[in-house]
Amino acid sequence: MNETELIVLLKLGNAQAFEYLVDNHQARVFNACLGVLHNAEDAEDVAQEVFVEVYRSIHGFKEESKLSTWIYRIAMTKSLDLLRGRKRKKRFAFVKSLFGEDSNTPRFDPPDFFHPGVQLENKEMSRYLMKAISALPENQKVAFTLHKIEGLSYLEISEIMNTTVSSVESLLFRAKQNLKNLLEDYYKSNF
Amino acid sequence: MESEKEIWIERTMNSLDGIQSAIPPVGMKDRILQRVQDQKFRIEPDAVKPATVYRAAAAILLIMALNIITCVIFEKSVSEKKGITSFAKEYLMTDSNDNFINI
Repeated sequence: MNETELIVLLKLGNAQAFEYLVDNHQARVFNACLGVLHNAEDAEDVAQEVFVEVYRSIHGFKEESKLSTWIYRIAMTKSLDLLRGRKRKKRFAFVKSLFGEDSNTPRFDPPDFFHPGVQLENKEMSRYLMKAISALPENQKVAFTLHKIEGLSYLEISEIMNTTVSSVESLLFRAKQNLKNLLEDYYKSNF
Repeated sequence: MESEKEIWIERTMNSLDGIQSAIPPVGMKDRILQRVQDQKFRIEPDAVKPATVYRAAAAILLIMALNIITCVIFEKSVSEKKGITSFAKEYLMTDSNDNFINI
């Protein structure tokens, strides 16, 4: 089934077409979310929400981009929404602690993340890199994850992020600079 | 000559080279399909967009405000007329039906 036929069937609410879509995109969506969220449970939750959103919004899909581009875009948006929600809760908990409420509540500290796809000899080092990636600004995080973990080209990333190729180049350059600075700090504190 | 730190940073930056895709958890596809199925029968709580609700509320408030202003002006003009009429009555400038007499 080619993409045009798939989109027509999806818009008609064809259940088999939707199942075909999930079969072909679930791994990609899960990996994209995992790259940003660094947690398999969260990645699955968000992946489910992505497909629910695809189901709800397919009628509004204007086919100005590829279906996979659109799905990636939803995946990145939903992943970032989850992270923003967590940051808000963390900020609120911090403010509460200033007023003496819940002063014993532990501050959110993301656990180390070992990506299951990383080669064995790189696992330990990748832990530091993942920590550093999670500290990047959103746009840099998304661009770096899509490029380094998903292996997408600058052009594909620019379509997903709705920006230009040169912006993506700039984001990746800044991401790498920031990562190196963060890793330098980690090196000084840990070694 | 690169320091140990620089070598470590370089190697860490390259630690994702050759990364493979993670395999989605077993049963994820079924859970996705089930969730979409549940969605089909759910009454959508946000079927009406918030912007539409705000516009409707603003329109209702505007109509209420216009009504209040109209009532206030009408009341004022009625009470003004009553005041003028009672003044004219004092000076016998109205007939039995409280209409002004042309002098």
